[in-house]
Amino acid sequence: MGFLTVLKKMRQKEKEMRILLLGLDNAGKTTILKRFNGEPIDTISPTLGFNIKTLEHNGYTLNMWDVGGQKSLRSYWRNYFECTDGLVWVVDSADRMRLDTCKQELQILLQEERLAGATLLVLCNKQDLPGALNSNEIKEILCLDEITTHHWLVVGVSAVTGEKLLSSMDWLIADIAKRIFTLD
Amino acid sequence: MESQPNVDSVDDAAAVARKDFMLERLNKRNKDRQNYLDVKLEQRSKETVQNEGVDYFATCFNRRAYEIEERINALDRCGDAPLPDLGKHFAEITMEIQELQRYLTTSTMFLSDFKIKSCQNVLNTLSGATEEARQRFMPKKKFGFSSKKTTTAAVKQKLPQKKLDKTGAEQQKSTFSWTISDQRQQHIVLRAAEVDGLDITISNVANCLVELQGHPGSVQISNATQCTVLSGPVARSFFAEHLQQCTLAIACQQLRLHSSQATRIYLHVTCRAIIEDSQQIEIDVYNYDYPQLEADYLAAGLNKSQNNYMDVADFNWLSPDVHSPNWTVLKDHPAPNWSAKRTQFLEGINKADVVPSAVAKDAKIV
Repeated sequence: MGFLTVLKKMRQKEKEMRILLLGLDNAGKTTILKRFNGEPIDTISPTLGFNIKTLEHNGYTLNMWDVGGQKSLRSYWRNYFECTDGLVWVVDSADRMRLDTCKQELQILLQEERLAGATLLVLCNKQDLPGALNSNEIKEILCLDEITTHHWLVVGVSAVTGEKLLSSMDWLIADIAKRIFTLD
Repeated sequence: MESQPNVDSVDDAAAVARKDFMLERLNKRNKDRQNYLDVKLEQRSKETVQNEGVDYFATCFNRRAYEIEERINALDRCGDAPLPDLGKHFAEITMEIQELQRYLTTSTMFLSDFKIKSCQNVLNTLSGATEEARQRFMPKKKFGFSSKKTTTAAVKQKLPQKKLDKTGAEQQKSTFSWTISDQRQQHIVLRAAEVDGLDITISNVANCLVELQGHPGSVQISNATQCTVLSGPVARSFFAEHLQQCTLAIACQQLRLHSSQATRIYLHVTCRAIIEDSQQIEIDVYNYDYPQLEADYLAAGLNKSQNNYMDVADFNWLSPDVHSPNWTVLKDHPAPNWSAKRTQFLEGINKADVVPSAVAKDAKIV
């Protein structure tokens, strides 16, 4: 029972994480959030503003912030950066038209100082669609291998079928937990 | 001397006023004091309620924990007798533990740290015991998480359809190509086999009439000028950007229109339409028609009776009181007759075609 264990136990009392869901519009951020929370996903309309959900998962309290991805809302993203433990970047894998925009927006986020400590989870959504790119292709296009500043993982998921959604979230939570509940 | 009584009466009046003032002050002070006492009393009674809450919580928690323990142990006592529904039994126990956990979490406000910790320990032991018992009684179902089961089932159901779609799509889309791109003055009709369940992408088209007679999975259009796009029910989103003077007829779950001008949309949208950086957008109700339209509504999963075409959200206009100047609902406007428009369009192409094709031929010769 060392000093580190004592510290760890102290932090574990407040097992709370703040997770920010971002991505271009129509990527499926709200759908992922609702799916994860077990709500119906058939009546989702484009997000005007943002949604917040607090949910319990694996004994942690997750504050999930889902901010609209419209071009006119992107400048407001920075208002949500403070104290973010995990960043979930949602990509529409079937939207080849805007992958360049997607890459640029992600790179801007990664340079952001207030997100420096956050773990990055890239979700290649809509894998259930026949025209979807797989997670390897998206990794290449978004140049994820060049990221050295953040812990990151790229996963192909489908919010509609729920494929791999839970396991990727578990990774994110485990990675954050390892960082903030041991090193602090 | 005449003035004496006057002075007296003035003095009297002043005295009365002072007395009144004093009385008022006294009353006020008294009231304040009583209020203060009331507040104190209330606080004290609240504290006792809280104390009772702690006791009540302790008995309630212990009783429920004991019940759960009994249920876990009940299995052991059954011995070799057949156990009817183990899965259900364990599910119930888990549910009960979760409920108890929730009870503890909501009660942490008024519990001491020690109490929380000891209750949490009890819960941990209980879930440990359940897990251990589960492994003993039904070792095969070690990893049978209920949530994962449903997802794999859903995936399996979708697989056959997905494979069918992929055979067609994979050959085309191994390297990305637009479904339709760089077209001028064309009448393009895609039938069900080229449309159903697929993502239709259209770019750089001008003066075209595009018809999608089927139910696409989604549609994306980028850069279109003076085009008419008619589409059957789109299962998910219809995404369009940089449209100039276009006419669309679409049924979809969501419509997202960006950076477009002077565009008229005959719309059926089951969720919501949004526009951004767009001006002079005119909206009217969907009226495109072709033989399998009804069936395509069903296949796309769109509700035909739910149309929110009047409810368009403009991201550049967030005032709820004043209507956005960027879009209007068309009123008293005759619904277009698409077959007449089609004939008109084809005639237009034929006339215009004479010159460009001649030029093209010349160019080839040169």
